[in-house]
Parts: sequence; C-alpha cells; structure tokens
Amino acid sequence: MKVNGIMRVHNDLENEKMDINGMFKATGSVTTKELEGNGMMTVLKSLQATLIKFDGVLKVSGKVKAESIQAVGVFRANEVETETFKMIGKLQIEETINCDTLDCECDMTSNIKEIEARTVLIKNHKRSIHLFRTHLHCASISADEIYLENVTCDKVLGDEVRIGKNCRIAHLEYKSMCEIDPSSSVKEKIQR
Amino acid sequence: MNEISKKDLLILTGISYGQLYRWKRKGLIPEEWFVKKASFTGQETFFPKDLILERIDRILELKEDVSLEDLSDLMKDREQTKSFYKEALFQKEILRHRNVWELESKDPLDFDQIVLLKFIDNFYEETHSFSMIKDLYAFLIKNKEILLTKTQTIYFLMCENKLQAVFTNDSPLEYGLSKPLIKQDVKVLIDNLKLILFV
Repeated sequence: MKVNGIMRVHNDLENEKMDINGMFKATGSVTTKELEGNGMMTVLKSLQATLIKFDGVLKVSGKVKAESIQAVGVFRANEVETETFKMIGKLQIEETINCDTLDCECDMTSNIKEIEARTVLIKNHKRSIHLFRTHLHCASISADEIYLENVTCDKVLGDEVRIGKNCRIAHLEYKSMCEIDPSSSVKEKIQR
Repeated sequence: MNEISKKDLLILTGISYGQLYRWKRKGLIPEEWFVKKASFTGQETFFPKDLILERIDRILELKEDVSLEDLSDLMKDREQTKSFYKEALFQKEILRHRNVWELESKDPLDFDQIVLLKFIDNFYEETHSFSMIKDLYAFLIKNKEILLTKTQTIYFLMCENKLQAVFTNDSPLEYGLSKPLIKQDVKVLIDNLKLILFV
C-alpha cells in the first residue's frame, strides 16, 4: 500500500507493506510487515510491524510491537516492545519500553516512564537547536549496559553504568562498573 | 503469596536484566507476573516467588537444547494437535493412577484431555475416592472451554463430606475459607505440562 497525500481509515488495517508520504490516520489498529513513512501517522489503537522506519511524527495510542524501529522526529506511544530501537528526536512513552538495545539521540524534552533493556544509550543530539531544553525525564531505567546524557531519572539499575554530562540521578545501583561525569549529580550510589 | 523483588531475583538466579526482559518479550514469562508496587525508592517490581523461580529454572535447563523462538511459540498457542498414549503419560509420571485413566475411554489423548485428567489425578492423590472423580470429570468435560481459557485458579474444598469447587479468574479474595484441599493455578499447570510434553 502506498499513500501520497492524506488517508484516513475508520477501521483496523492489515497488509504486507506500507509506504506513507503525507498524512495517515487509522482509528483501529494497524498490522503490517514493513512500514516506511515520511510525514505524520496516527494510530488510535495498537501498531504491529516487523520493521518501522519513520521520519516525522508517529503517534500511537496503544502498544507498538516490532522487531526493529528507526525513527527521526517525534515518537509517541503508550508502550513499546521491540528488539532494536534507534531514535533521533523527541520520545514520549507513557508506560514501558522493553527492548534489546535502545539508542536514542534526544532532542527537546522527552518523557519515558520506564526503560527495560539490555543496552541503553541516551545521548544529546549533536546539532540540536534547543540548546538548553534538551532533556529526558524518566522514572526508572534498568539494563545491563547504560550510558546517559542529559537525563533526569529517579532510579537507575545496571551492571555497567556510565553517567555522562548533565544528569540528575536520585538512586543508582550498579554491579561491576560506574563512571560519573563531574557535571552530573547522583544522590545515592550503591554497589551490589 | 510469597513475593520476590526483581533485584533479589537477579541475584538469586544469576541472570541479567537483558535476559529477563528478553524472555518477557518472547512471552516465556507472563506479563501478569510483573507486579509493580510502590516502595521508598519509587517503584519496584515484584514476582510471585515460587512460580518465577520454577519457570526460570525450567527455561535455563531447556535453553541448551531448544531455541528460544521454539519455546516462545510453544507457550503462546494453546492449540496442540499432537496426541499421547496413556502408557507414555504414565511413564512421565503425569498420570499416576490407573483409576484416573479409565475415566477416558479414548487412548491417544489430546492435550486438553491430558490437562483435565491431570487435575483429576492431583485430586485423586489427595482423596482416593473413585466415585467423586467420576462426577468431577463429567463436570470438567462439560465446562472445558471456561476452565481452559478463562479460569485462573481452582479451589477444591471439603464441606460436611461433600466436595465443593470454586473457579475464579483474576485475584480472588478469601474470607473464612476452610483450608482448601487443593488449590490449582490453571495457567501454570498448562504451561508446565507443555514444557514436559512438547519439548
């Protein structure tokens, strides 16, 4: 299926491949294998795909389930379940991200409630125009390898933890290794 | 129920966060077992202790011979077409009592029948009363659909020498309940049978 322009679907949608240029909205859930798009996409229920490649604004009110996600722009969802997640831009997740690797270059203010992963890499976007507002807020991050930049988090749990620039962490637990940049503040640090 | 926090679980079993979350994604550990509770450091995840420890042991044990994808397929769909002979089930110590077999006249049993007979078998182990299990089996067969798809826990109670059973879904509240003869978690039983039979 290829969309150039505007399309609205008032039902569930299921197909092999989707290519969107422009605007797409579905009031039901969307199931596909390959999703590529530029522009804006809204799904009011859940989105399921093997590969998601999206530049622009992707909003899903339910759960996103995929093997691999690459997104640039704004990504908003209730819950995400994937193997690899590569993101540049603003990320807003109301519940949990469960993935193998999360690689995120943050731009603007992002919000994630909980990150459950094997490796987490959160960096500042290199060419961001929002010089002072770039930040990620998070309630809890738990993973084996963690690197954070510009993150405010209540709880960080990990094996190897590296805290980069401008982080504010309330509670940090690590197992084998921990590095903290002098510009960051960590209130409580525990080795287990 | 006895609970264990995520941190203690990882220390106790020696697995990593990555492995735990991977198994969750693959459906090997049901999402309902991840119970979130408020604690003084914010939020903490707890698990039902006995269930999760048994499941993790089982996964670690099987991981060597079977791929994770195969395991995950197994846990997800309940419909299994393979059937089993009673003698084989006896050898695997699933059906331990000959009286229980005789309830079902067919010989290669399909998976649903095995689940039902396993209930009866556990029950017979406690009571050793043949007349009771006969009626009970007829009842279970009649309500097979509800039992296998919607029920979470079954309580068998003895009240004035009469058998009573309660079928619940979600977490039940108990008050003044005399000690149940058997308390059986249906989903766990089904999962365990699958792991024994199909792997």
